Amino acid sequence: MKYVESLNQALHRLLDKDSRVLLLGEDVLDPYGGAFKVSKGLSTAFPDRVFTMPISEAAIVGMGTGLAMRGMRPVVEIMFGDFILLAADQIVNSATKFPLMFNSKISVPLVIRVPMGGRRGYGPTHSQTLETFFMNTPNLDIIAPSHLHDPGQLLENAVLASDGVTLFVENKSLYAQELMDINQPHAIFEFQKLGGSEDLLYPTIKVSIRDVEKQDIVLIAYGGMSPFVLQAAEKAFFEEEIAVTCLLVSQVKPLPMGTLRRVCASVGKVLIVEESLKYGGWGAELSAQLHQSQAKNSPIHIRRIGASEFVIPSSKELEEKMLPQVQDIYQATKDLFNEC
Amino acid sequence: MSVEKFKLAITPQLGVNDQSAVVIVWYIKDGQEVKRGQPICGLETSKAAMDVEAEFDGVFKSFVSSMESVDINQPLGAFFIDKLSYEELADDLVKKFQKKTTNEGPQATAKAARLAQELGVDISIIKLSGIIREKDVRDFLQLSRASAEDIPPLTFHPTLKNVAIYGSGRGAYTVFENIKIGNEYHVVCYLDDDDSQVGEKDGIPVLHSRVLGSETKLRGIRIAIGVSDAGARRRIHTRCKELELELINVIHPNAWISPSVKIGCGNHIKAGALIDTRTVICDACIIDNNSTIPHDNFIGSYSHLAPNATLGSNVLIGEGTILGIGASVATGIKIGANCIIGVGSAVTKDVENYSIVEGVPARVVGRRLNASH
Amino acid sequence: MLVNLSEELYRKVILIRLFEERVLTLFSQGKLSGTTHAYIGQEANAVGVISHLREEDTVFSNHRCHGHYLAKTGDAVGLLAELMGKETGICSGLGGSQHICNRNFFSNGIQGSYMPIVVGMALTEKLRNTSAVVTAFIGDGTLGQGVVYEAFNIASLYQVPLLVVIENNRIAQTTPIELNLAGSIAARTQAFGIATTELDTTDAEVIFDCAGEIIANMREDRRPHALIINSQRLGPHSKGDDTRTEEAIADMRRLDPVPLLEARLTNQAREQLRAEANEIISQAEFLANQSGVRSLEMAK
Repeated sequence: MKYVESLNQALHRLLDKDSRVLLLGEDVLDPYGGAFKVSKGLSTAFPDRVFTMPISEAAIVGMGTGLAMRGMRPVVEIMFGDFILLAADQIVNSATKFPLMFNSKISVPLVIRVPMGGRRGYGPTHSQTLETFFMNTPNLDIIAPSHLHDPGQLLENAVLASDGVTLFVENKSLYAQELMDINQPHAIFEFQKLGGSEDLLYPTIKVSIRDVEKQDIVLIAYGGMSPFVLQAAEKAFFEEEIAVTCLLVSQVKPLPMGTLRRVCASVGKVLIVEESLKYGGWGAELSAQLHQSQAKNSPIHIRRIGASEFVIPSSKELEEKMLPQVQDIYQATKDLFNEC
Repeated sequence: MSVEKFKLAITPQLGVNDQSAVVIVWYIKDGQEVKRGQPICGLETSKAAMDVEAEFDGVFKSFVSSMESVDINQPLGAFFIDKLSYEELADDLVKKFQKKTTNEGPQATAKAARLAQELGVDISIIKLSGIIREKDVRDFLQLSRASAEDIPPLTFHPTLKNVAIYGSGRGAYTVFENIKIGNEYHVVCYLDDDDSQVGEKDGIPVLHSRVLGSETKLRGIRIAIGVSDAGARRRIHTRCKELELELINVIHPNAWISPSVKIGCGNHIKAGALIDTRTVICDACIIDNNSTIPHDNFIGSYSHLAPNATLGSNVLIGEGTILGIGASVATGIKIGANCIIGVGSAVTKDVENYSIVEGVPARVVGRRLNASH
Repeated sequence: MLVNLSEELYRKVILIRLFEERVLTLFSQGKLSGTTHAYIGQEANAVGVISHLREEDTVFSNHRCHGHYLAKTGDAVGLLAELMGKETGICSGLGGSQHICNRNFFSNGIQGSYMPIVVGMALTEKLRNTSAVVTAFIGDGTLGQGVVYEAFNIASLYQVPLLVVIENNRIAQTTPIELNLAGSIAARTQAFGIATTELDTTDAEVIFDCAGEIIANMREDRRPHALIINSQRLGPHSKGDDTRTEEAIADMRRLDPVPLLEARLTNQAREQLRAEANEIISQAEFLANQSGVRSLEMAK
């Protein structure tokens, strides 16, 4: 099954089984079914509960907030994640803030779906990975499934099992990707689903090289970087016999630090990879927290990779230079292995 | 306008908790035209077994081989509306749906490949599957040196064909003697999967079967199957095929076999057996003393005909089926795969896969859940 | 009937007026946390409209929300404690003057930000086939905010039972309307196809009658409505930031809604209602002073 199909089927299930679930977004009606077809078929099956919206991102998120405050379970679709900044005030000063400043008198069970990420040549305003802007927002969950997760199940968890605001990040480059079944044996990797009490709904997938006892490096990434880190891990192993364990996080915020710490402490070398800007990014918080948690006699060496500080160019060749590639990750893995 | 050129055959759910099933036997070939309702294959899980019937008419293409596992609710093949669509699309569909198995052969890291090349080791014999690392190459060299030291001296015959008997129990001894009566083969050793059997027996060494893949002295040796359990014979058959080892037929000189009979490999045909014209014996079967197989019969692989089993002509016996002592089967009867026909029974009607039948005339008294037990 | 109505409206108006005056005094004494935005001069709007609302009707208000809150709930105790940052406050001291939530009453300090939220709330009422009405109070200054118009558009597209009360006090903090707002207010809502009523009064009874008709209709036709009330702010924006001339303010005092209602009451009724209001406020102040500050444990 493809990533996009998993999400689409989950929305069908959600609308089918819970009358509180509503869908709002731009161009979500059939036959178009949303810019990336995640909403396909929904308005036909549930004509009274799918609302097409004018080009008003702030109002879309605000309406979702109002519906949620009155007991509904709205899912709002932002056509391109880049447009979420138009709704930033709604997220920061209303949806996430109300439950806190109103002393938990109300809850806002709202899911905001944001297709993020580049690699499709859409250029500077339609290719960004902006969820990291919201790392600083209290009471907000940022969830980003990889193609090793079950995106539909995670979406269901966000809509029904969470009582707060969820920024549900779907990397555009993953939509057409076939999901990888971690329960099937794989020629190179073995998989393990990690999830303690802090990340039960949104597990981290641990991917290690099969039949290798000692892991050399931990690679932490999420969402759209997942296929890249797996390729780099494969390359590092086949070319250099560097055994890389990849931790594919789905809970971007709050960071599942307990889970991440346990794995990182036992290996000691960590490479953090993200598609968003490296400067002030997700990896900055993660590495600071890992650094603070290291034991005196078992240091953790950390390196980071992220997008360069520039706009995302439209030209394919230039875009490739700007965003992290397999070769960048492979090289950094090798360097970290040899340096520390 | 779009016409659907094919429909998928989906693996049905057999038990409540099953995630996958094994295709035990295909009843049809790729490219064959099938009719709705016709059985296409036998499926088995740890708890149940059943035949899958065609849901549509069409030209069939399978996505899995026999003995391969397939996930529940996943396609196991496709029905094409005509031969043309079959030719056009079958290969693409197979590529799309064939399960990526982990046994596609070993993969070596660049470092391992370089080292193996330097040391002159054939990397393909280090492991049957999985990933080969530098360490594996070193371990292999060390192990093969060590095992060369451990292995007792083996005597190879200069002119006869040298053979190892897989198994070291009582069945294996019969094979041993039967081979010795003829003058085509020389028995070098027994092989056994069980470490406790390793040593010496009947004046020849018993080696652990793991040396088959690594011990260079045994490379190219022929194998005779010396075990009676059908599941074990199936495993040995598969393993020898993977290792590209030749499985010999052990035929007692006092068995009578018509010249037009076709016999596969790895069979043991004992004294007094009679096999008449145009009969086909597949692989790794046991045809016991005095069993009678007249003309135009078909005996599927891993079957066992016990002493005095008697068939009519035109009988079909499916894979892995056991006919008990003195059992008889009427002319033209089809017996499915993995059945047990009780001692002295007389089979007068066709028998479904996995059936246990007994009596005169034989009636179904039970179902087998797992062929190897 | 008329006498009773005047008394009932005055009971609420005078509570708001005296409450706000006490708040300004407490503020000067340094007993309040942060800031406050007095509703003095606009009391008739809150009382005239909200008197028609039921428990299940939602009100969403702004930074200048004390009057709306008191009109909806009468809860001076919780409000004063909240302003003083005390544990017994409406939101336990977390929200303060601009951020309160009690049952179906909400306020937020970001101008206009809640306009799409009330559209979502009103849509819920429509989807659930209730007869409830959602009311949002905004001011003329907030009409500069873009999201307000996104909300007008959708409220009209989906025809939701949302009453937008625009209290035009002709000044945004310190900037007069002439420097702040082009065109007409009514034309703004009318452009979106929203039925619009404009009132030029500070008379609580006039507002009460007009709002009563609008709200009764909305419970039937489930459509949005805009009510513009041209009003005036008699106090400063918050505290000590009034740049208007004494003369201008004195001129506005002629339309003060309090004496307007008092003229229709007997002296006895007036004094009694004032005394009751003062008693409520003093009691609230006493209770707030008794209350402690809530605990809040968190990592930094």
